[in-house]
Amino acid sequence: MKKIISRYVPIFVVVISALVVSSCEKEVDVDLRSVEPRLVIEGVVPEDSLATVRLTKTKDFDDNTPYQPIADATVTVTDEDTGYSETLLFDAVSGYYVAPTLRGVVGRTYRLKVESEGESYEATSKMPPLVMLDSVTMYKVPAMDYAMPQVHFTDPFGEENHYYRFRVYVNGERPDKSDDACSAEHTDGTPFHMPIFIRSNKDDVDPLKKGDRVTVEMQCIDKGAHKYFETLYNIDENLTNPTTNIVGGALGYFSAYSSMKKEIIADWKD
Amino acid sequence: MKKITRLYFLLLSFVLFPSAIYAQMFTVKGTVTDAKTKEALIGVPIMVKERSGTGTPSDTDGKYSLTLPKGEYTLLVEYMGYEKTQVKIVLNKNITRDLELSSSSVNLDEVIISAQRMDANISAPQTGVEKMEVTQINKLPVLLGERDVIKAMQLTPGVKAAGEGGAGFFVRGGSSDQNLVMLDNVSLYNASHLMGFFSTFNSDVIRDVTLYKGAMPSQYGERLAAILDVQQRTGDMNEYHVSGGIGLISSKINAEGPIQKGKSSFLIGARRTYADAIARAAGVEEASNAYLYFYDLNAKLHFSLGDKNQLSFSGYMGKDKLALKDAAETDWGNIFGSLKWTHIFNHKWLSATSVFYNKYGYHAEMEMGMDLKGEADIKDFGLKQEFVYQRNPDNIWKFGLHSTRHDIGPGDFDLNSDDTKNNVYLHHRYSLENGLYATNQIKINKQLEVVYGLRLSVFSALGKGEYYTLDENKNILDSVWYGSGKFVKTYVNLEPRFSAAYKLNDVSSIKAAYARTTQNMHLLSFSAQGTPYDRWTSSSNNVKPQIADQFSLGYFRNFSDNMFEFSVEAYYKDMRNQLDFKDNANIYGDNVIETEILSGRGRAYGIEFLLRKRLGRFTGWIGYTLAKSERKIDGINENRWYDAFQDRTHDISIVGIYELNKKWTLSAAWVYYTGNALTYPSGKYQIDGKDVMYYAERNGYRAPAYHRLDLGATCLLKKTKKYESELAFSLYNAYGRENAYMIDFRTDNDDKSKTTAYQYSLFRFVPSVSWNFKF
Repeated sequence: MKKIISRYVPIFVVVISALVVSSCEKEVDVDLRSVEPRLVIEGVVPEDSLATVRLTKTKDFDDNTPYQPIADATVTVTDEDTGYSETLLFDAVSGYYVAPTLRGVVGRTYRLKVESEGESYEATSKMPPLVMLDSVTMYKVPAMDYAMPQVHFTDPFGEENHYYRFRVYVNGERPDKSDDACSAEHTDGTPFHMPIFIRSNKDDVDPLKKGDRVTVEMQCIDKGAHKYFETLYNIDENLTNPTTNIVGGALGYFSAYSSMKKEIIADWKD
Repeated sequence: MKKITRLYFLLLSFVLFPSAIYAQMFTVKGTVTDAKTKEALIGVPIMVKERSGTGTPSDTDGKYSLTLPKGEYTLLVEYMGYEKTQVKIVLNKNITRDLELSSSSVNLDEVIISAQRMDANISAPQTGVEKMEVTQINKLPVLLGERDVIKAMQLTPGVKAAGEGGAGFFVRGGSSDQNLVMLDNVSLYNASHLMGFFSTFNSDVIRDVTLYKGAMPSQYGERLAAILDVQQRTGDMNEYHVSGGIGLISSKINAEGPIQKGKSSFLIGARRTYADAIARAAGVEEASNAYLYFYDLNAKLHFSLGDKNQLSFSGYMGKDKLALKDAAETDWGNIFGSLKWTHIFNHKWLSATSVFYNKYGYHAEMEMGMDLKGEADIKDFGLKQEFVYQRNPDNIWKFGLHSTRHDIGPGDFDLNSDDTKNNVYLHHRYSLENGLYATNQIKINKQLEVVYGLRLSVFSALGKGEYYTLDENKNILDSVWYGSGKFVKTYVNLEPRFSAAYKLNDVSSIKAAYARTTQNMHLLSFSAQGTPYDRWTSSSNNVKPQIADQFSLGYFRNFSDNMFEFSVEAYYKDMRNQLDFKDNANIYGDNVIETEILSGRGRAYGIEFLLRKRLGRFTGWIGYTLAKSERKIDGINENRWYDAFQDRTHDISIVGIYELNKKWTLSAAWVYYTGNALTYPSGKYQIDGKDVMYYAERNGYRAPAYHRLDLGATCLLKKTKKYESELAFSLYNAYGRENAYMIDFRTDNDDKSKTTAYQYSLFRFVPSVSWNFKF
């Protein structure tokens, strides 16, 4: 509910602004302090794919140099169910640590361990079974100029709650703001018909047009990863770092997930 | 033995028969009314010409009473906007003498802030109080043609606007939910319209507004920082009148008149905005599918039942509605009704009894693939009983009881589609809030006047409902179900209040005050300006009452025969059990709000300067506040002190009103304040290829300083006894300052490898015109 309300409030505010005021946007210089860089960990174990981990650091807001991946850390991923462990190897081209052979399997719990600059960090994540993404359609809010993708799937009944994350591509590119996460904690076993809000940073630029190829990836993630993405996607309201599932003081997340994609050609009635 | 008997008798006579000490004392009493409207006038100073320094203000029902030795006197009444009146009386028995005041033809002095006495700035013992008459408010420049009592109050020292154009306000470092906003003594849970741009008060039906920002008297309570007491007018008991106004975005109409001539009256007011309709007509594309308006209705009925009893009914209903056609709609509003019976026992005792019902609620509906419906409300009903005992004009007691039952419904949510139905109904929370008080205002001698009192606050969290046991990390360990009406937890707080004025000489005084206040209803909002969906919660086994101790000390000086008033007042406020969100709190969907909040200490201190010119063709004031407001809560900002959002170092307001001639009145207001304490990122990183802001501290940065000039002009088109009309022009933000409404830190619009800060501003050069009439 919070998300739905918080999504609508900006729309209403835009409408109000258009009605009664001339709101304007301009670039400003804000003197932001410089703080100690912190380690950022992005670890994933996708179903049937190699485990990969990216390590970077935070940098100053005004620093526009590229993010430098950290190459000298020790990164291991362990399958907690079998006890099998692998040290990931740094690939200088992609900037990722990649497992030599370890691939994600549904139902398994994985443990990530990172050692960097004398500190160690740990996280676990269990890969949930895949829930089928039935279809993707386009949905248009009357007051908006463009439609957005809407996902349709049915949350399975059962003891365990399911958590979902959605990533959107438009013609293979990621829009400025698009991704979303949801849970079925209060709505077990029900069909979902959820629009995925996408938008551009620039108000007068639509993030997609008719005829664009829109791809939606649905990831089935565990509770810890869901908490991370839910708080990440609400960062503009919370103004605090997302709740990580990594222990040891790093930013970022570790997620073992199953996923599937569906595509649609964008079209809608004006 | 004989001596002791005499002493005893003397003491007894002091206590029981204050007028018996002198041989012959008699009382003159009566009601002060407006000769035309028959409306009772409050706070009118009635002076005795022959006895300098003797006098009394009329009370909240316009009544006054003076006890004097037998003799012949002249009652002298000088009141802003009314002809000077002198009434000769022969006092050889107790008499009743009603005073009718006629409006002065030249309303030069109407703009003066109403005060009980001409020299109230120095002599009134209550400190930290601001009172404004609507006639004054009407002369100030406005946003979009809407006169607003709260925005006028924001121009006084110690009171800060919550945001650009907003009707929320902060008093002495307190948050906006620490203000109790009351209309005719009923508290309103949301006092703003349209996301805060307008207040719920239609200024045409308002008589006056009083703000207590310091040591509030004991008859007030329930909030930590301030009381805003807004009173509706009473309708004219003799003649019918219609007044109204047409503005750019709204219109209003009010009617009043006798129900039974001389005995009863009605007053009704209605106001509605139509900005959306105008925008649609003007072809604004965004408005074509949008509906956005608010309306409110005010009513007051008044019945005089003989000269001992009065009955009045006050009602209010307001609603905001926003809708996007075929997609979403939402509305919210307050509704209340209250019935008040005033009974006069004799010239010393008075009783006022009122019962009220009040509800605030919102409703939201969205149709986006799935139908989503949500509703929440908060309902109060209660009783207030007050006795006023006026031993003599210099010694007034008030005793009373307030009792309110709160019912908070956090929300019922339905999520439906063709193939599914889901509902989440959050548990209601019930509570009982009682306040028992006694307060005494007494003039001890010519120099010293004090108000002191005690308030006993008793708050009980009630069943039915589920209450939780939480661990240190706010995880739920256990829950217990309490049946209907069962007491879960009761908090008892004793709140001493004290305020004194010591006159150094005829033109200056020192005032000191102390007050303890407590608060048991807490508002949880992500936005400091507030949204209609903010969640109220009550004290419970997990949420303790907020407690504040405030000390203040001030020096007051009048110049040039009370033409100028100067004051400097310093305060320090220590606050306990202040609430704030834990990091990544979720206040909307969560059933158990208590798991999302943390509590700790707060402190606020500051010094306020005010220089005001009260009389003459040019009036106005300069106010300056230097202040600090901080919090320290375990679990937030690494347990260190941090600035509260409402912390503002400097706050300046300069207001001038100039009566050019009988036709034109010009006004200007300039405000400047330090930006609010905000959370800005201290760095950035990347997740999934996107820039993410890195936050290192809460409220560690400052918004850019805010300043703005507003200009206004009122042109009296026509004024006769029967008909009056005027045009009011305003220019908001006259020099077009781009004040930061929000700053967004994000990936650059054009170059994805860069990050840039973007500032948004609202309201540059907003002109408006409105036409007001009265007949």
